[in-house]
Amino acid sequence: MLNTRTDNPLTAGINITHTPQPCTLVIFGGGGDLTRRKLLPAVYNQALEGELPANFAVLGFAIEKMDDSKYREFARKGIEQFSRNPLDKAFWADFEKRFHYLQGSFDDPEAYVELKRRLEEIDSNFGIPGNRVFYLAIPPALIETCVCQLKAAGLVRPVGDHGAFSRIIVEKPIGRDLESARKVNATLCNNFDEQQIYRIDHYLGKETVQNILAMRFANAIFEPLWNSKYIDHIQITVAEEEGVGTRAGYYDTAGALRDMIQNHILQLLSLIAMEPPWIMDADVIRDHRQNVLNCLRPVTSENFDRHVVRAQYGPGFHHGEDVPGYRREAGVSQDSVTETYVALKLFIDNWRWSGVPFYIRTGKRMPKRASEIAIQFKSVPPILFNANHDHPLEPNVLALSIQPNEGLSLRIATKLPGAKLRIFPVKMDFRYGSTFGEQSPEAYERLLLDVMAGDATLFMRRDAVESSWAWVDNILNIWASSRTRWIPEYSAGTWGPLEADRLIESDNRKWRLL
Amino acid sequence: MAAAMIQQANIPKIITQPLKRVHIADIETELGMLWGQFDRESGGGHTVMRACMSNLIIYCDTAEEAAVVSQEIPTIVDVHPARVLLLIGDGHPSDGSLEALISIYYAPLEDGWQVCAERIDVVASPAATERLPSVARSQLMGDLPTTLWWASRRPPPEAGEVFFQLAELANQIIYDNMGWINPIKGVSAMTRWVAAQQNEQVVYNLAWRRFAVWRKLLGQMLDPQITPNALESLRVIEISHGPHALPMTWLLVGWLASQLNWQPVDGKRLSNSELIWKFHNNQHEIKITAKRLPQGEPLLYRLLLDWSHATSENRLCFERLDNDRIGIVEALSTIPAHVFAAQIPERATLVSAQLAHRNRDKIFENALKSANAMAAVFQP
Repeated sequence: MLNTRTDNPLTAGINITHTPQPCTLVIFGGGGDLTRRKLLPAVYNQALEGELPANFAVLGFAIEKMDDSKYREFARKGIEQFSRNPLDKAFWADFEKRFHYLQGSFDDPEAYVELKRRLEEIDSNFGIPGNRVFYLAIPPALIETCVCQLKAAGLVRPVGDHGAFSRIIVEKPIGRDLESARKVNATLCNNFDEQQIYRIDHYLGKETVQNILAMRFANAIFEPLWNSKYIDHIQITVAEEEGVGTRAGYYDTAGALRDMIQNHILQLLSLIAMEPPWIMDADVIRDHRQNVLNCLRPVTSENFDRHVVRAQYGPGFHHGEDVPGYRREAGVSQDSVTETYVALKLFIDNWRWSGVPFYIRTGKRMPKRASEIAIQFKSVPPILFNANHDHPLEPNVLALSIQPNEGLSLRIATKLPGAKLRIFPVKMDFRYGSTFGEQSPEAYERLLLDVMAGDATLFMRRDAVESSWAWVDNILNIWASSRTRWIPEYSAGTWGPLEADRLIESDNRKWRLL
Repeated sequence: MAAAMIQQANIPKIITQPLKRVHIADIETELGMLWGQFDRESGGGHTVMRACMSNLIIYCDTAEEAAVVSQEIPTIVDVHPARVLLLIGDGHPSDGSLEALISIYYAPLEDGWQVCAERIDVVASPAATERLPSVARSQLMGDLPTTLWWASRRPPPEAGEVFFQLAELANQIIYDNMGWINPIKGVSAMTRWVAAQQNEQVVYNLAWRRFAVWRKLLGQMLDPQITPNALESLRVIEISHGPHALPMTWLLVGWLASQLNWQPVDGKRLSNSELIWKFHNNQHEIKITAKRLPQGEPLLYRLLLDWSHATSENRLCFERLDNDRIGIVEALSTIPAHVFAAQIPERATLVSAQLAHRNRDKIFENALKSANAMAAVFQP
């Protein structure tokens, strides 16, 4: 692998932490929705801002009938519609030449022979030393086929031969339960080394999520409080305002637990709860995240009802408009018991978090789109300012907002001006957008650069995927063993079912109003 | 409503108020009153927040320089909220020898306002210039790093005591050698001053950031995996630059020399618009010419690198195509033609980006040392 940090004196000091290396990005499913909405705009934005390596090209590979010219048009339209930077026509006129397309069937060995030939041609035209990043923007069922064909075609270079690199990016979901996840991972690992595999979870590329580590370990004031002695509980909310939309085919077989909890939320949880890593190294950080997953208390049939609530949205209002219930959505079975909402109470059984509940909720058709991690600290003793039992002081809350506005806020108690001693909570708000002005790069932009730079910190390792499935499988199995076709319902446009309120209120706590 | 009194700055996101004249001793109190007045006039009831990352002292010689800087402040504080002290050393106070003016900059949030900068202008008559550091000293906010942006067109050491005293207040000094009247003398004076500093102060030339894209492109295109042996075999470099870009060119050559271990052996002026340097890398000589174009922006326009030898011809030629793009000229290169995004950042963008970088840049300092060594062998 080319190590520009040490082999080339002219790259010394240039963005030391991140040096994306010359490569071709090969997108399997290059004509798909993810490619159009996220990947190509991400590539464009990074190029426009000078972050991409000078020797870089894109090759879309898919079944759709297109040539290079049509693909460039496809890319341009996607960029015009979805890029955070408007299309710069003069720049695009040159940059589009780096976009190529190969039509082919993923299971056709001949297509891979042609893929190899095209890649060699691109290497030669763009001065790329054979480095490839394969992005599988395809349905999970096709992963095995593509990976095996890549290996068979000689397109996977081994790690550590000091030659060009081959890396592969795999989108979630990795499996739909532990068994299938193991199968996908086995397929990946039989053909690529774990170091070459980047299991992407775009949540981990968001600025605030990365800021969790900075906030915890770059400030002296938080970490001493970051434990069961000072923290009362933690709430993680990932609320979507949309319904199932066009994803019914996938979603009705998955549900909120698989779609959100198993990957995004458990990854957030592991970042919030991990012990301090001793170095900013991808594997060290991932080891520490993994330790959190290892300590998750399993949900059992005995404690199930007090720890898990699922529900499905019924008809209601979204921004004042009538919207149908889940079972009336196009593509959804009328007797579906797929959950669109999950609330959980979970515990991490280690020294730091012993007895601290983590309340988690995620759902579709919530009143608004909001993702947040809130750390609620314990109340001050009921003396002095907190002596009035009828009006206890509101505890301090540190809230990390992930979307739509990335930032953090701290609720503190202050004295209101005047002769009387009146205490009032004030929210100190910090938002990336308004403080730093710059638009934060999209998560995909950051993550693509990470892959090109060989930094796997923000990607899921095999053990993390399998541990989270193992934990989630407990819940899935209990649901599967239940014969009921009944599932609690909440009105679209509300914050979830009464059962979820009861889950937290039985502990004398409340869901935060977002 | 505050809307009646506010005026839109260059960037609509950032709003400011007209400067208010105040006594120097009352600056802090008057700033507090501006906050309160702003809160009341914006309807009240909202929390007005202040985010602040740095003290930024800006020194200008003249009111004209300050007027330009004034237009750049919103762009800077939008990215890097700061307390800004704009000091004008050769100004015309309306009364007495020193005059202070204040204002605040703020950004609308969904449910309130965020003050992102307080601005304090201090105008000194020529006779009172040396009193400016004492005013600056009393207006800095504690707990925050301080940057001195030397926005004067004079090389900082030439300003003498006012620069030395302001520099003592700062953790970082930003200067820009673009447009220096005698760049060779200026480079030499600045390099000597930097070398004499014993502390961990960060000293930074905007020219370094301005040609960062060239450094990146050279680093990537001459990488041993892309063009094997190019770095150690370079023999000829021809640089064409626009007016006022000689200091930047000098620094670029200094960077190449320091990174590739070239020792300067000779340098001279071939004509009013052309210089030549010779280096040695223990194996062979490297000849570098820098030619000033009769017109254009203060930029690098063309860079030809030649590492041909008896058996093969190897050349790579970059050319700035327009303000946003640099291309490889195919006819002169062994590498296929490419075009790269290379937008020329505004000065304010360069400053705001640099404010967040608080570590010394050893690569820059080494380039500066090499640039000084080049000045030492230069025969004017």
